[in-house]
Amino acid sequence: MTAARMPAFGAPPSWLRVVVGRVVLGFVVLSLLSGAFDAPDLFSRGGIGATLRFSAPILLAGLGALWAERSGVLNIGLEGMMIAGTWFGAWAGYQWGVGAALVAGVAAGTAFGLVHSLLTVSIGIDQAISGLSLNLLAAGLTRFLSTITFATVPGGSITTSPPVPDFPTLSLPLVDALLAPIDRANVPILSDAAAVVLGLLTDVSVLTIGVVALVPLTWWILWRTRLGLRLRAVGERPEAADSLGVRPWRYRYLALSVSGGLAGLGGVYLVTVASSLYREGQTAGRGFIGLATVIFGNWNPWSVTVGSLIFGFTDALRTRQEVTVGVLLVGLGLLAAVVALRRGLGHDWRGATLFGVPAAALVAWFWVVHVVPAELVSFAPHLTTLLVLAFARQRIRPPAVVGEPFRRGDRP
Amino acid sequence: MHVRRLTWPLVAAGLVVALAGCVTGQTSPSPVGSPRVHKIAIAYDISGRGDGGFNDIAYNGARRAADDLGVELKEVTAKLDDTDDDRAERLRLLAGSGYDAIIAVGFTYATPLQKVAAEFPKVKFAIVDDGTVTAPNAWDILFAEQEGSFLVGAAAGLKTTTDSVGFIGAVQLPLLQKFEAGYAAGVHAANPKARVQVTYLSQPPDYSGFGDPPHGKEAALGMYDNGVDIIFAAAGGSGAGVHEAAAQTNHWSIGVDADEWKLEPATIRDHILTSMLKNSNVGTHRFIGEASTSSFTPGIHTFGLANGGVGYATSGGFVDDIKARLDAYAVDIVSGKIVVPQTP
Amino acid sequence: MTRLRSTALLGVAPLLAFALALAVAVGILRLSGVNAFAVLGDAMAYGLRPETLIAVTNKAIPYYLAGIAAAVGFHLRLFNIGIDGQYRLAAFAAAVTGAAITLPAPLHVAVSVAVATVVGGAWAAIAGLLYVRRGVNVVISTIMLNAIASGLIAYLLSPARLAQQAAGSNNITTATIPESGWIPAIPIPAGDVNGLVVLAALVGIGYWLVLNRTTLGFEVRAMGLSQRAATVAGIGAPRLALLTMAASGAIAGLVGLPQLLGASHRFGLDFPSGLAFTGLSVAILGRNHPLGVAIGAFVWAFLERSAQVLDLAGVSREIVTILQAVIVLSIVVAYELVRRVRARQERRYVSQSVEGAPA
Repeated sequence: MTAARMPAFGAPPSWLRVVVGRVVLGFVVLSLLSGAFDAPDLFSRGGIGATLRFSAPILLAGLGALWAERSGVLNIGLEGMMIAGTWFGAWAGYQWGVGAALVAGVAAGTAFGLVHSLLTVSIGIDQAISGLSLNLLAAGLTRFLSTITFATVPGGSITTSPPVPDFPTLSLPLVDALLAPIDRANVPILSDAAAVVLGLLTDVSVLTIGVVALVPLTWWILWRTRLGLRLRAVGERPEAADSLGVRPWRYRYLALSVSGGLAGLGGVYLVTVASSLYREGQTAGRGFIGLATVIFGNWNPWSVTVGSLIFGFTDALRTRQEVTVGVLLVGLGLLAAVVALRRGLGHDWRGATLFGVPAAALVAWFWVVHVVPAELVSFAPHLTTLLVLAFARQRIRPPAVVGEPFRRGDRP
Repeated sequence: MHVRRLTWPLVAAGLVVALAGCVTGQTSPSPVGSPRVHKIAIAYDISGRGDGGFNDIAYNGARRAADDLGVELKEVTAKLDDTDDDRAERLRLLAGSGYDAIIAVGFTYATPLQKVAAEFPKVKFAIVDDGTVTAPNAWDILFAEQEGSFLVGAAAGLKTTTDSVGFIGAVQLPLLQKFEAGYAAGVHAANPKARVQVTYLSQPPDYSGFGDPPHGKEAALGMYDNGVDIIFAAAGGSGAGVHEAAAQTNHWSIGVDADEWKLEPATIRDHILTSMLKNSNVGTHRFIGEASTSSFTPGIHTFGLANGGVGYATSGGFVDDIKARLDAYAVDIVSGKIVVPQTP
Repeated sequence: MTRLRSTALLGVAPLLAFALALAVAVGILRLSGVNAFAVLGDAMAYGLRPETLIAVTNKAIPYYLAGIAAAVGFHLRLFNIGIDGQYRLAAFAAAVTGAAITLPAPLHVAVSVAVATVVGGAWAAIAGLLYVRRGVNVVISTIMLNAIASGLIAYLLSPARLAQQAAGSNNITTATIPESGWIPAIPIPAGDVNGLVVLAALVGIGYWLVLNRTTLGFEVRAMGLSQRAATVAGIGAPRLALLTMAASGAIAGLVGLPQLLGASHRFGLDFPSGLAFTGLSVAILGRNHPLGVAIGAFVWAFLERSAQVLDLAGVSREIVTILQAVIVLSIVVAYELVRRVRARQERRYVSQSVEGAPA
């Protein structure tokens, strides 16, 4: 890894341009495909709204993982911190409104983050087992708390809270008036583009906007402030940082508090915007998916966002309209075919076969069945994530010491 | 036997908890009823109680029976990674601790119960939602969910203005497919033109679909965007999300198991057209009733429209105008004129 | 002298952990208004009955296999979260094959075991290949592959395809494996021990032998200690990673067999899932050592079993979950504290013996 490549971490404009270019290309291809197959819209106003709502909690978990791991601590406990966020968010929210939900949920996540730092940074136990145990602890604790709180109030039970109020939604003025006619006109590509803009700019929850704002904020703090520089240094060379007077545990405590707080916010999002009550098991593994997006996103907030959007988009497709998933698969098949073609032109016959055969199989299979069985649709988001990762060969480089406890004088 | 020695401290501990107010309802220390059932236990599947639906209703039936008899009622719950051995051991522990009427909820208990029932011939067992256990001391409690679903399907077929209705199931299980099959049949019987869109929120063994309101809500929003105007939410805890979507977009939804109109807040209940009632309390109550008498008839006991096991709710008065037609369908189902399919 | 003392300290760790866990357990039980010592005594009494100990052993077998599967990956810092999908897919494939064929008993069992191993290994190898060839992190690919395995099983486990639904049943299962394909239980006076315990023991021994007595094992350990040093020494990292993933998956493939070949003889909707997370915890608790993992699996199984008594005593299930987390944490924290004391002692010892050297 040369020094010339290293500064690529962060958010260089050239890098971002590539991503934006790919996203736009993907959009155009999929938009044309859905027209060709006469399938229901892949891009609809409601679908984009749903994408945002599905992506936001995953993105928050992803950013949480990013903060933790950039400081050199693995946080498998994100799921548990998110669970804590859902419970405390709902508990405060149904009594005192959304503001209280926000504070309580984030505080609960932060508290769990602090416990995680106490265990892994101060005591120095295995970071994975601390995280796994915190997940168990959060699940058990919230259930216990439900029995003494929700179960005793009308509208609640040992697994469900009373209804929680929602954050207000905003729409950008004029967007609806200008773009809704284009969306309805069914012009190829243009209508889909209008739908995307409509979905992104109308009826968006205030909390969603806040979540989106956290991405540049995270980037700015971690890459443009002294605090961020030190925090990342702690995740790469704790001994060096320590010898320069930057105390690793201090930054790790900070990073894990933020990490837990973000996951807790994800929990609040689930009980207010994504639905409007607490329900046991509601996080449904979103913390783990968030953990995956940070690897997908190469520990960079911008690509973590792309990762959670891909997952959220596919999840929205399969949840709203199972049939659309077939079109998506064909799109992936075409993508593989393009890669195969390029490999073939470069006389890399092995690579060409590696991509060409599955591509042909995928497209041929869809031609025959036309409808993807529901059982297989269920894992569309996961398969898409996996395939996108496989196609987009990338140099993944985690922060150097993730998973290792820092003990002064421990190393030779 | 250690187990016998265990019994009394356990009861004492149970009482302490009950006195501390941690258990809803009271345990009566002085049995006044029949001597045949002294202690009742329910073993739930992984979802457990507090689902606002099926398990809670099953509990209500057992609770009422326990109060009638003045005996203790104990609840235990399974875990996701339970093997048959774990479940068998759970039942064994209950039976060995003096629980003499034991209700196991869910088909996952079928194999374990078959084994344990033979080991404790004096204990009366019941399994809910399964019809394969054969033992002289066991009831198989089945519900004709398809019959009740047929009626709410007919209501949807009659009420739709877009000729397009939806079904959202929690997890694609045979049990929930019975709901789907009955619903679709009801829709088509009442409105041959109508189309039914079907989706399940998750696939086994991913049971997240039972407790994931966000996915319930988005699935419903997707259907409503696509021209559906009534959705039957056979989705457990995720159903709350479906009802929320209905209220948000001003459409109808249909509840399941309980009369959900009574459970939801005012802003949402005005969008709950009706609910498919699965009165699991009838099954558990009757079982305990029979277990405490000398006449115990083992085997399959089916609860359908004919004996009040299933039905539809009229709360809110939204189906009052078509009640006569729905009741006519009910009569035809009971008489056998209409045979409702159990698989889609 | 010092060496002796620090070994004695190592023995203190479990005791310390036990004391910590007990204190927390008593505290939580008190909070929920129960006579803590009476309830814990009952749980102990129940857990130590011979019948229960048999049940604990049977429950520990899949935990142990999952733990070894996880431990194999841990050596190369490959976090195989995919054990869950691997064992379910493997057990499903073994169930379908086992039911479709009839062979003399030992051969029949061997075929099922082989199918499970191959399917588990192959499914894990996908993650291994993606890692080696495309740089896809194993954590992410195995999380995704778990979901994909669930979907595939759901698709195939349908009456229209490879399964059936008995009349009156809400379960869907594969056909039952004929008796020649079962692994008989080992009857001992207190009850039946699942016959797969033998396989688990063999896997443990094999794991130890390969790791400590073969070149491959040496390479794996070297790579685990320092990737750079191992690469310099000419050990092929990609090959080793792929091999390790496949081996982890192959062992993971066995996790479902105690249930499949020893108990239910068919794969259905009621097949246990989620054993893998316990496997990860058990491997970490046992520090990747075959005996340590065995003890970890047994302790975990013991807790799960005894917990049923707590459930019965009116102590709710959620408290049991809290207790499990606390107990694991106590054990790990106690180990860490003892390790620190030992490290300090050793450092003092070294600085005493090497005159003038800074500590």
